[in-house]
Amino acid sequence: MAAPALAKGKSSPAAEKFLSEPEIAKLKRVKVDLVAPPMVHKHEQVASGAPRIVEFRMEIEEKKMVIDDNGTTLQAMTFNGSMPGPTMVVSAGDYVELTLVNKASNAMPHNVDFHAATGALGGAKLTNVNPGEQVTLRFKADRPGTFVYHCAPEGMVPWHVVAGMSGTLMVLPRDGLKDPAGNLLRYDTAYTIGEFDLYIPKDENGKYKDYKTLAESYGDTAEVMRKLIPSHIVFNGKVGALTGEGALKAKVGETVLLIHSQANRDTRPHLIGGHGDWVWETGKFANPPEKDLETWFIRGGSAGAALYTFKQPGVYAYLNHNLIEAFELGAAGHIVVEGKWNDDLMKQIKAPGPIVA
Amino acid sequence: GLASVAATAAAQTVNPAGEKLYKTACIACHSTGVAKAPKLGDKNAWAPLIASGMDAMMEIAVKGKGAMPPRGASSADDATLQAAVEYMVQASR
Repeated sequence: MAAPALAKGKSSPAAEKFLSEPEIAKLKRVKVDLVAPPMVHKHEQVASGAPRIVEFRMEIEEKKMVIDDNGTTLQAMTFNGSMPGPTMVVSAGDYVELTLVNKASNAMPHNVDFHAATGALGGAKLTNVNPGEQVTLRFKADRPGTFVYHCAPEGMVPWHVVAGMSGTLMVLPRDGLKDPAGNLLRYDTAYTIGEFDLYIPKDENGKYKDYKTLAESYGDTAEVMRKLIPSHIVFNGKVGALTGEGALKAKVGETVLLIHSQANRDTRPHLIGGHGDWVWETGKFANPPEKDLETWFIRGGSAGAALYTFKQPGVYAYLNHNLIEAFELGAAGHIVVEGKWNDDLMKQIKAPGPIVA
Repeated sequence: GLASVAATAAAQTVNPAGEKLYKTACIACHSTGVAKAPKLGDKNAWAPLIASGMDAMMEIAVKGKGAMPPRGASSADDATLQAAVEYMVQASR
């Protein structure tokens, strides 16, 4: 009886097959155009064919960004101009082939460390690019899950990460997401949320400082970082980025996958008025998801994923449930849901009014 | 001893804007040696640079070299930039 059980464990090292370079060269290639967060590029949830080489291209862009409604600025560093960088999706067994471009207009050297990859500091050692250079890295995405990627230049890793350089690589199981009983779980829409703890220095009058250049923001920023108290904590680059015009959208009956990355600091996502129907809070799909979660927990340095099927219309808040971090520092967004109200799930029996004895 | 007295005297003639710029911007790479930047205080790394003279070091500081961006990616003027170079040279002799 032990034999079938062993055969099921596909990840046992003895069962691993490593392809030779000629074998890899024969794999089908696909080129994927990335889209800006919170959207995720079109992808298959169940792989329809054999492993492929999936080509991506990202440009690093350093720029000054306004990060709150008071005009506070961050000397930011980004993959593709956004915080977070775009989410890349492949299936387990596919090869990721990333071309990383460091625009000539940038000032700093950069690279990329994929938590999904194996060897060479996640690829960081093989992707050091100065302004005006590009590099191409290939790695096998052999573990399913949501994984952080981030810049990690030796000697100044935390600064590049907290200045914006992180995103998610989602590696789907080839046969799709499963509940603990092995039933297929599907989503209609995937949204990607990157949470960023920011460390903006203040001047002697208590006002946030604005810097002429990225390099000039370094010394003061490092001092704020060392105190471990963020000045702002934002979703997708700015206080309120996912509210109003930027709010996420869904319909009653729609199943949404919420991917949440935090490359540096812990967070605890919660959907007000909703739940996590199925949650991989450590983000690795070979593990059974947990059910019915009120609040889940993303470790700093990881990405997690939650599935939810909306049952009621209205405006939901999706936030970090340290409510000071959410409402004072910025870690909150909205999901606007259309559809029909369900009185069985909730009903206001008597509207607020004067107290009656 | 005498040497430290001499060093103190030398320090007093240095433009303090140099140390300030170093601690604001240059420190990002030169404190740990990011992308092969010569580390502050690393005598061996700095000896050939110091031997090349201030004009040559200023040429690198102003125009950039390799991963080092022009003006160290700062908005500093030439005088402040030179003061920062002098600060780094003094700390690395």
